[in-house]
Amino acid sequence: VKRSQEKGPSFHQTALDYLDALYGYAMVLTRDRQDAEDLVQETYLRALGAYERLRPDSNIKGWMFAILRNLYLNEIRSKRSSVQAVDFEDDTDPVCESSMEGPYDFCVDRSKREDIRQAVESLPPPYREIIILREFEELSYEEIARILECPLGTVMSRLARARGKLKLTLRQWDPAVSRTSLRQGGQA
Amino acid sequence: MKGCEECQKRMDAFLDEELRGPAEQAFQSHLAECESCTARVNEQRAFFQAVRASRPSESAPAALRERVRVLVERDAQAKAVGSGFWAGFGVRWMQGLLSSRAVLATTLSVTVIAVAVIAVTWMVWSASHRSRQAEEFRELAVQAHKEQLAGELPLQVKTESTTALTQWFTTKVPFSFRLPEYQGISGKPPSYRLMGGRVIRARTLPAAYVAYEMHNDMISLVMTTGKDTVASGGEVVHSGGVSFHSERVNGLQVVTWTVHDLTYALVSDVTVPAGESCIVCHSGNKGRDPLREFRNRAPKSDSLRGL
Repeated sequence: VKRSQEKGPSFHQTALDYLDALYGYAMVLTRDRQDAEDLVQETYLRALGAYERLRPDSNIKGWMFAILRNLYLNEIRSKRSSVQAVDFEDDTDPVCESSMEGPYDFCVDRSKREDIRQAVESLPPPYREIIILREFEELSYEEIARILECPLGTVMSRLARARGKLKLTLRQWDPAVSRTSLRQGGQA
Repeated sequence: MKGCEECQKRMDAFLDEELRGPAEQAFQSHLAECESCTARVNEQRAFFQAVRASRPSESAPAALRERVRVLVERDAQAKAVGSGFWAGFGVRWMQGLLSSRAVLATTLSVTVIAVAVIAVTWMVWSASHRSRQAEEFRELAVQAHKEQLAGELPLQVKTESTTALTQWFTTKVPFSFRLPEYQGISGKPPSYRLMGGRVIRARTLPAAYVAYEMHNDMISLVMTTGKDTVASGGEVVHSGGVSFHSERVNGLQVVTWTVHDLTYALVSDVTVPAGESCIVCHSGNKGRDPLREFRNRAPKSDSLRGL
C-alpha cells in the first residue's frame, strides 16, 4: 500500500480501505467496541491532519496502525492504569520457547478457524498484537517494528514466540490434530 | 547456510518473505538438498496459511464507517478549497461532533459554551442597557425639573403632607410610592418643604414627580420602579448601604440612587461635590441657608446657579 505521488486525493480515496483492519486492531488493543470505535475515529482525525506530511513512498496502512497504537498507549498512560491490557515488555515465555522445538502436528479445516481465532484471542497481549499485525494484516517486519517502536530483531523474536504459543495453545485444545491434515494444505 | 539449524532459524523470515538476496538463495539451496527442512517449511507454511485463513471477518460498525466517511469527505472538500488551517479545525470540530462517545460531552460542552456566551453577552448588554436607562432617567428628571421651573409642569396634587401625597400616588403609579426618609441631624427638622407631586412618563411607565422647596429654590424628586431603571454612573458616594450617583446634567446637579426596588433622581441647581450632596437637605436648619457654605467651596466652573 504505497502512497502515490499525488497527495490529498490518494489518501482520501484509500483511507476507508483500512477501516476494518484498524477497527480489528483497535478491538485487539482495547477489547471494547466503544473504545475501539473512538480510537479508530481519533486515528482518522490525526491521519487527516498529518497525511500531507507523509513521504510519497510511505505505507499508509502501517502509518495509520502506528497512529492508532500510539493513541491507545497515550490513552493508557493518561489514565495511569496498570496497563493490564497490553504488557509490551513481556517478550520471554519459556513455554513458547519449548514449543518451537520440532515439527508440529496441526489440523486446520473450517471447524478449526474459530479455534484459531479463540487461540489468538487467548494469547498474551503482545503476542496477540503481533500475530494480528503479521498474520492478519500482513505487515512487514519493518512496518511492525515501526508500529511497535522496537528493533527489527524484537519483532522477529516476539513473532516467533507468539507463533509458538499459538501452536501450543491449539495443540492443547486438540491433541488429536494430525500432521497429515496439515500437509494436505491446511487451508479451509 | 550452515545446515538445518540455520534453516530452522530463518524459516519464518523466509515464509514471511523477509529474506532477501544471498540469504534467500542460500535458504532455497538448502531446501533443495534437505527433505527434512523442506517438510518443516511446508508444515510451517501451512500453519501460517491456516492462521491467516482464520482472520476474523468482523467489519467496522456501520455507524463508525459513516462517521469516518463524513470526516474524510469533509476533509477532502476542505482541502480542495485550500483552507488548510480551517479545514483541520473543521475536521476536528466535526470529529468532536461525530465521536460516538464524545457526543454527550460535546453536547454538554457546546451547551456550557453557549450558556457562557449568552451570559457574557447578556451581562454586557445588560450593563449597557442599564447605563442607558439610568442616563435616560436622569435626563427625564432634569427635563421635569426644568419644566416645573418654567411653570410647564403643574402639580396635580399640592400638599405638604407626606402621608397625603403617598396616599394620592397609591393609585397613580404601578409601584409602591415611598418618599425617601429624612435623616436629619439631632432631630432637627428638614430644611426643605414638600410642595406636591404629579405623574409623569418615564419611558412607557408612569413615574412620580415630587416638588420640594428649599429657601426659594426648587428641588425635584423623580421616582420610578427599580426593576426597569437602576441608578448608575456619575460620581458614586456610599452612605447607609446605598450608592448615590452624582452627576451634572445640563448644568443641574442630579443625584440618583436605587433602594427598595425604587430608583430616585433628585435634581437641583445646587453645585456641591458629590460627597456633600446629601448635606444640602439633611444638615440644614430651618431658617438657615444651608447652601451658603457650599457657595464658597464650589469651583467657578461649577458655580451655583440661581442662588
